[in-house]
Amino acid sequence: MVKSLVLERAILHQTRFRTPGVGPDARGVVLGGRGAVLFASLDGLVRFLGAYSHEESLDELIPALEIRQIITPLKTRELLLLVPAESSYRMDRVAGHARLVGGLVFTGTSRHFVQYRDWKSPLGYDVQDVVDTPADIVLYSDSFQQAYSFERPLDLPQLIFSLAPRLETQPADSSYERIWITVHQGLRGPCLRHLLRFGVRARIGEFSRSTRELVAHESELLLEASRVPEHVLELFRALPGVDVFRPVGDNYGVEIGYQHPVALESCSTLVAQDGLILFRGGADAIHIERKPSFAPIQHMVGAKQNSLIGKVGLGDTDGTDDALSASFGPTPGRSRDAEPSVAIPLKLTPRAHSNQRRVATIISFEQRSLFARVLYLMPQKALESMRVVISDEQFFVLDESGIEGVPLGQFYSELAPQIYVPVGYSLAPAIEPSLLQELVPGSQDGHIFFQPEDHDLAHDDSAHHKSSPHQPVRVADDAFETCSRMLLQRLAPHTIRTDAPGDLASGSPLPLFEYDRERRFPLWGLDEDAPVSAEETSTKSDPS
Amino acid sequence: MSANKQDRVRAQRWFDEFLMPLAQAQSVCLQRPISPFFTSAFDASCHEAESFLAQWHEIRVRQPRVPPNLRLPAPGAATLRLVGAGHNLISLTDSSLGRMGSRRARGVIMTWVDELIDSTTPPRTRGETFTRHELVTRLLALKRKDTVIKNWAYTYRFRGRRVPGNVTALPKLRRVRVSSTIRDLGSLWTELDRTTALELTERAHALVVRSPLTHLLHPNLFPGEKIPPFRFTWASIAVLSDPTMRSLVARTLADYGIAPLADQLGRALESFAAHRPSPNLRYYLMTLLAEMLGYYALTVERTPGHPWWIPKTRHERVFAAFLSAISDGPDWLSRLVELDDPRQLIRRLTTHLATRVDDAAKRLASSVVDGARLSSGPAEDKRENAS
Repeated sequence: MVKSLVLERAILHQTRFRTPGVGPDARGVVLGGRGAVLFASLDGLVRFLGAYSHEESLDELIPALEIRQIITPLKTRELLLLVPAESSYRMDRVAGHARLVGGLVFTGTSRHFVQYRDWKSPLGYDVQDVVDTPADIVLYSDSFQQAYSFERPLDLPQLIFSLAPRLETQPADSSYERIWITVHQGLRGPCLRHLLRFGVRARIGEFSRSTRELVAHESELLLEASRVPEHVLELFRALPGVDVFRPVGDNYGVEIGYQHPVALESCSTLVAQDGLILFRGGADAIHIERKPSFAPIQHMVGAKQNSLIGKVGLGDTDGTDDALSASFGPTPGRSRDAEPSVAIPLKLTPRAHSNQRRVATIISFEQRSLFARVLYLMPQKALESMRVVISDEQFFVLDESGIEGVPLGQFYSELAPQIYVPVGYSLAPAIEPSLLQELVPGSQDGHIFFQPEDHDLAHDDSAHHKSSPHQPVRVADDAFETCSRMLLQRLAPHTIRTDAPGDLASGSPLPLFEYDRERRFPLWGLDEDAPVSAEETSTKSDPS
Repeated sequence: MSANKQDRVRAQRWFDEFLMPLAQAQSVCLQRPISPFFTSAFDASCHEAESFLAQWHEIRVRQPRVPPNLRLPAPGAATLRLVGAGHNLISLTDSSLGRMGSRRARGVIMTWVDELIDSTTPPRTRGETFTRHELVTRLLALKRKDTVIKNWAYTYRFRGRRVPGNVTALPKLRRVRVSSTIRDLGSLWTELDRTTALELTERAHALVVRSPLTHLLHPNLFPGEKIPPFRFTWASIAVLSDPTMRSLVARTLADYGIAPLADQLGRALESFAAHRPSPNLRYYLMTLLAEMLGYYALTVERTPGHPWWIPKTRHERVFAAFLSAISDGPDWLSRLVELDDPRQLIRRLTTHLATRVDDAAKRLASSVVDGARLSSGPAEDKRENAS
């Protein structure tokens, strides 16, 4: 099948080509609908992906990108990368990178692919003879022409995710703005306390690895920490059961000290928007299908440990923390001179787990028709125990026995007597209920609601960064009325008219009418002359 | 038998079998269609017959809000023409008129209906107005009984006709099953309007308009796109000049509630203002609105939780502007002598309405209300004496 010369150079303004599916573009370059890059081995393909992704965006190619293992009639296997050839500029970039790693570049549309332009023929090539061989694809190069059959497709995401990160050649930049840390459950307490001791701002979530096994892995913890001191980072990296990753884009993390062969930033579309893949050096990647809900680590430890905030290095830790310190080494800590801020605003912050009773809900006026429907379905006792206030824009509904019967609005739980926070939220810093009652005036004769700034924040992880001081809303206790009294419309009896035309003859029997007997000619014998004028008639005969 | 005698016999039969039972709210038997020429036979002899007047003497107004001793006068020629037109309108629902050979009759009868309605003059006295109203309302209340009889072999349908005895004889042996339905005139006319070009509903509306009291008391009697919207006519405002009838209309409309009628009344008031009515006509109409407002205020006051009406459409705002302008006037509300002095509530009500009225509606209402006055003393007394 190999011929010494199978191509001829395309010339400017050439419009007819023997190669099916190719034509000149605006610059006169011979271009088909797709480009094909032939690699002799997988290594070449990976190198191409790495080189291309570092310079260009793989996301542009991914929607129509195909990788196929192809085989010649002599059972030689090669790899073919098919990309969309939207323009000769893109094909030039693909060709440039492909030739660097030893790939051969072709262009075509469906079955016949001719060699893409190079320095020897700036406008590309055309074939001298089209091969009529039963094959899936035929490639025409200046030195050969070859028919191939498709053997199997290769999945690009699977390929990229299975690539093992390699050690970074350059020294790692030790100052990371944000890192991901995975922690085994057994190390949860010590790790969190250690982060707290050093005032690291971190959020924690729980995840299970995606697995195809019937027995799921034990859940692990995922921490998102920012500005972690270098020594803490080194400690965590050295600790078995803890992996530290630097974020690459929003959906990838690569273990610190390692580098992925492909620039993951350029292929963000391979992962779902809320998914996360953490590449570990020398181990399988961790696939997290959906990022977990995060909560500040301050809420994940007891009140005693919470008091460690801002007291780093003072040595007032419990025995567990001493043990951690012993295992982690000495804690350098901050300077004693760092004075904590005097006024700490109360913030409404999401919490991962909430098993508090829902005793109140705030329903917006947009949902009032739904609320009315729910009221129709509620039993009498529930209606009696429910108390309602109608403000300008919202219904405040309160039921100490539980508000689950009203599946509407933003639910609230009682943090302290008559002080409510949205379900899934808590106040930070965490303070005692009695102290909270003292801090919030008016809670003795009113109900205090801490409302989130935006209800959508509860579902948006990025909002955790936006937590800000919240001004609570107070509703006087006197304003609450039972639901039956407040919402049900008063009965206004409507007077029924008794003199409507249909009721004038309301006595029995009904005033019926009967027709005259049937006649073959109904008007026979009747006078059909012109009528007498009205004036004449009325003047003659009006008795009044 | 001469033609004149024939007419007298027919007229007597029409009085006995149709008009008198109708006035007594009993079942009636339709007669042959009434031609405009034939109505002259009514006033020529029959209605003056002693027997007829003696029977008619027993007929009283059945309205609950008029003086109980008000005796209905015998219907005049104009009223008899209107009732004759109604009789013909009912006759047109006879399905036998749709048969081959009889179809021409429908067109002729329709012409007679139009001529009879057109030649009906407005009532001139309170009694005549009530008589016409009573007859027209009872005529519209008539119903037809359709009977379907099935035996083992046949099915017979009698629409508005008496069932012969032989059809239902031997019911067990012949397995006779009888089912009947009662249909009102409105549905019969509507059904015929759908299948023919007779436009019976429109003609029925025209008939009601010739009875001004009925028209005022039932402005929504014939809803439909082809029915012209409610208007205050000269005849209806003449009715409003009578305090008894005006009070009846005001109470009745207030009982309906302002909300369902506001759009119609606003449209009618706008049309009324466009015709540059005389101060007298304005006066009587505004008096009606004042009384209506008073009765409505009483209704609101006596039923806790009664929702206050809020105007929404343009015509509703016009109506609200009129109500508001009336309450601003010097002595419109002082006319509500028989009411329990709801003026304070009316002030609040109209203040509430005034905030929802635009300037154009306010100007229109003020232009009418400000010029409403009686040119030469109240005419109510004259009207009362006339009846």
